[in-house]
Amino acid sequence: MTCEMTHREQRLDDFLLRKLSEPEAEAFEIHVFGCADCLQELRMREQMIMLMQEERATVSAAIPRLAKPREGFLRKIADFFSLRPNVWIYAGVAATLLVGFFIAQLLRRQEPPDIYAANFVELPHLESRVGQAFRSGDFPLSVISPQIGENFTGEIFFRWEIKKDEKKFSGPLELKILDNRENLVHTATVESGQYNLKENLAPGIYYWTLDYQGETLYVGKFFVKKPKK
Amino acid sequence: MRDEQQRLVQRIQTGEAEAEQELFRQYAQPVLWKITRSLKTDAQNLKDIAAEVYLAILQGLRKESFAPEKWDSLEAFIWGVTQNKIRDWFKAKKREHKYFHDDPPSEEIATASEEYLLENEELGRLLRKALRALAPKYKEVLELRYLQELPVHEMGAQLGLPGPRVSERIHYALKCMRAACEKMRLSPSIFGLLALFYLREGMSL
Repeated sequence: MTCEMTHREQRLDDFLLRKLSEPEAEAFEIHVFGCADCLQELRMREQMIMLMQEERATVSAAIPRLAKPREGFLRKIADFFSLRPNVWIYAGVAATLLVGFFIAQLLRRQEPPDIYAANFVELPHLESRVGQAFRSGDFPLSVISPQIGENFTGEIFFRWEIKKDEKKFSGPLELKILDNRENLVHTATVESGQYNLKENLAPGIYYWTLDYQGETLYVGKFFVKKPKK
Repeated sequence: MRDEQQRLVQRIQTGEAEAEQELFRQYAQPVLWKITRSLKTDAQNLKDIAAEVYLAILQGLRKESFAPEKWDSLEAFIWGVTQNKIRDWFKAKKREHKYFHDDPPSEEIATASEEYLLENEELGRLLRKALRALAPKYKEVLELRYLQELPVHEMGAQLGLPGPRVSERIHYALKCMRAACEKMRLSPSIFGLLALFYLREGMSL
């Protein structure tokens, strides 16, 4: 809008409602002849009034109900929103953000499902070696625990046996535990045939190996599950 | 009359066709608006009166006796001519005199007149749609203001709202109506076509 007439709104309405004197109305019409903004506004309001007159019965019927004064706090709330229609949009955006925030908080408390599932993907080149005792024939190793694919939720007890009369092997074995990304998550040198892992591992699939003097003798696997609450 | 308006008149007086078209482009809409709202007329009367106004404006401007300095503005002159022609039409109608010439309006003029009325129809259609979509509380203030013709303070008393809030509500309601109208470009039509018609036909005034 570029028209800079003072009290323009009042003048437009006074003209439409025939509240101007004849000279005032003529002067205003002359202004309208040179002002595209006022002309457009007048055309719009004239048409609007004509349409409202046509629909007067309908509109009037709605008035008693609408004009009924609201009381106290409720009226203030209603007025606040009625005069600021954009508030609904802002309120909607704020509500969405708030809900999003709470959902994010809930999800943070849970194990992210995608990461959790990824921890159970098998590692192909170790998978193919699971359960095999290498140098079989000349290394009488018998693994008792954990069984291949055994599930754990807490501490893990490793146990194996070597024939007593086996003379070739003297000295400790190296126990290694790897996750499914082949990260070494635990290692221990074990003199006896058993080892108790008290460390809590994250849920997932794990491979464990027994090495002797740098040579892998056995590959096993087990699962750590999320403990039930 | 402002300098640029005086220059436009001088160009018209020298017979410059482009200046006439410029004049029509500028004043077609207000002239048609005044005729339409004064006469509440149909397409036939609109095009005939518009043609009369057009001729009278050009004849007036081309007179040697026309003195631009006597007029506050060009729109004041055009408004005066339009007003006189409308009065003439009413007088003739009252006396049942024949007001218009025997020659039927050209097809171009008829089309241009109908175009203006169609434009109004389109405006009405858009506004009707906007009114239906308007929340009752906004429709209510429009009704109180423009049908019951209540001043703002009386509306406030009736609605239980302070005056500034009533004004805000009216302002927003009108804004919604205006937004509906902006879908349609109000373009000058009839006078541009009238000018082209007369220039093409080589009619002398």
